[in-house]
Amino acid sequence: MNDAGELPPLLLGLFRELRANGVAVGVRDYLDGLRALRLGHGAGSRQALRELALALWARSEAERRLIARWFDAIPEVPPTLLERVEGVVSTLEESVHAGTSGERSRRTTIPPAVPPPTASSPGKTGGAAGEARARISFAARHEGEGLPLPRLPLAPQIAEHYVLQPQAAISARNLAVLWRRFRRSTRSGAGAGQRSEIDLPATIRERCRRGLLARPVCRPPRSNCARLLVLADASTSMDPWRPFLATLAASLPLGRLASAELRYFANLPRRKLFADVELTQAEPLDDLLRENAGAALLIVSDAGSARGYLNHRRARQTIDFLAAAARRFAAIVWLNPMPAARWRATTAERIADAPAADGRPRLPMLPLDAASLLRAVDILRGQR
Amino acid sequence: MTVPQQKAPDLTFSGKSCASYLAAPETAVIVNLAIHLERPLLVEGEAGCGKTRLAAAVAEELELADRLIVITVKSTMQAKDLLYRFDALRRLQDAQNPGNQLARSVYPYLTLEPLGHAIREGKPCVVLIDEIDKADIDFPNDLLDVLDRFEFDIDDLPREESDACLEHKGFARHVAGPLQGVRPLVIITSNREKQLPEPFLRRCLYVQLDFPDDPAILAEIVRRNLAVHQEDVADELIAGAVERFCEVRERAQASGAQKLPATSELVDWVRVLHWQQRNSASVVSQPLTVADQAVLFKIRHDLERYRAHIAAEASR
Repeated sequence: MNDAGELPPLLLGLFRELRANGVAVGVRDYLDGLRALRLGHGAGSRQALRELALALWARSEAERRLIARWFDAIPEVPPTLLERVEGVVSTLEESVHAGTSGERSRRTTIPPAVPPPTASSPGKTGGAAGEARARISFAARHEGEGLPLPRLPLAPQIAEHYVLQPQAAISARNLAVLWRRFRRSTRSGAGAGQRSEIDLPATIRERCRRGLLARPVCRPPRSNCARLLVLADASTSMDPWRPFLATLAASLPLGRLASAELRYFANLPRRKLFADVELTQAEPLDDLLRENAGAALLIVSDAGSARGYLNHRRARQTIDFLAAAARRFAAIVWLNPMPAARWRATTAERIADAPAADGRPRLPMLPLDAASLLRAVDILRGQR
Repeated sequence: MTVPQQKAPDLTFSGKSCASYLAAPETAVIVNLAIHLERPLLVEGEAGCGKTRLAAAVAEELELADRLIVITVKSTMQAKDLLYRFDALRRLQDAQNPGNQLARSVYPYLTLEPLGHAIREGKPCVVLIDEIDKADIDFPNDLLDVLDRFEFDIDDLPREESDACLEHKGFARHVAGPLQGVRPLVIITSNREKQLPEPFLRRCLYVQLDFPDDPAILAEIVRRNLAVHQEDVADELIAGAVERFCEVRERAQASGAQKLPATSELVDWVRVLHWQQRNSASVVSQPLTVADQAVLFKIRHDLERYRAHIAAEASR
């Protein structure tokens, strides 16, 4: 550790580990760590240091686990080493107290052969601001000397990382932000019943015409008139994406669309669509298509690619449905949660590659990732 | 410690010296970090665990009680509503009179709102932004930059009026604290009704207030809260009520209640028990009365589940 401003090895190693694991800690978080240490936070014990790291850098359960794993992986400091460090510190402090007052601190270097750094000399730091403190340097003068930075073992115990906690592919919040991109702003949309916004040019015109102003002229506020119909596949092959469908359902009301409806089907939209994911409350397809004419249509289905099926009949029926839907909807996007590489030789590929009738653009089938979602919304709003 | 020690600022929060609030030591550590690093503090936790009260306690202990600024977020609020207000309607009204020179400029109709005021003053103060999750999902993002740099621009003020505004109102188009100023301590509470954006979480220090499990701490919390109401409740009754309360909470948890009774319910309950002049023994041994249930449970569904749970236990 040097005075130029570097975290002690224990925290520096943790910081690097967090970076390596994709946690979005930045320069500022690093500097805040330095400042916190200088102000005496995290001093006293490893537990305090751990709490400091958690408070500064952990924002999610996964990050908390990572930091906990890090501190667990660091071996305990042998008591003999602790005693030695304490001894060095106390003798130094005595000599500083006894010696000239001009000498505020003195450095000494513990032989670099000692195992893990204690980072803070336990129990001896913190508080006593302004008092003469003994300081111990664990750091090297040159590159490659001194204590090594601790690292987490790269390969976990088992060959693969298993994430046993269910995690959403995308949060409702992020989806809602995406829906808000899907905007068609007008002053006479469905929600613009009352005139509640002042129309400045008209007000000024009125004032000039009459010489005085009785009351300001108002107009309906701008509102979004974009409508969206989502048809989601709720068959068993879509079970892994049930949480995603639930997130989708939760995000629609947050999207500030003029209307956003979600209906479910099994395998392919037939004569009936369903209002619930258990497929019990049926509604005629034709009614729904008529009500939503002119809206944008988003279909979420794996189209047989989850199990790798190729069903010509299902593909043909789906293509027929899409051709019928293309006449009613302004834009159609198919979201396939399986990765695009898995579509090959399945019903999904047949549907995606089907030529569109009478010069219309082909149906865009997109996988479920951030870039594709953005593109899906762009297509839905009419930008191909 | 190998990092050179700086003199810590005098402001330190222990969480113990406030008359009506007791903070856990872990909470106090993070509050101190927020004070020293000048970062906003995001407080989450169960309803009724004292998220909002924490800000008042911090202000009281730092002797800033008269400089506690409470902003309760409403669903229609925008980030700039915290900073300044432009009274366009007044200006339109004034403009009706052609002789009114005031209405020719914008600045007379501008006022700084609490957070904007606190930023400009640069004096130590505590700003509480309560229930940030009630606002629209864009709200935290818009606030991010302000909480990052503690300065902002007044977009409604034309640039050419900036000097006049500075002269008359004391602030220009760009509002920032004085050079030697202190940043306000910003405490933000959230009920997790909406997820907050990742950059916002990164910017804040985070503290989760948990329900204290230790009966002694619970009793101390009750005692402190009752002291404020100047009610003289016997320690015995408090101890009995806390014991019974922990039991009820455990049962409620087991029955899968949506809103568990928390510290605020406990304090209310002890006050009710005191008014009813009940004694410790009857509280511990007898089943909950209707009034007790009404104080402890806020959702009908929870109450029904709790009753069913008790009945199932009794029949076993």
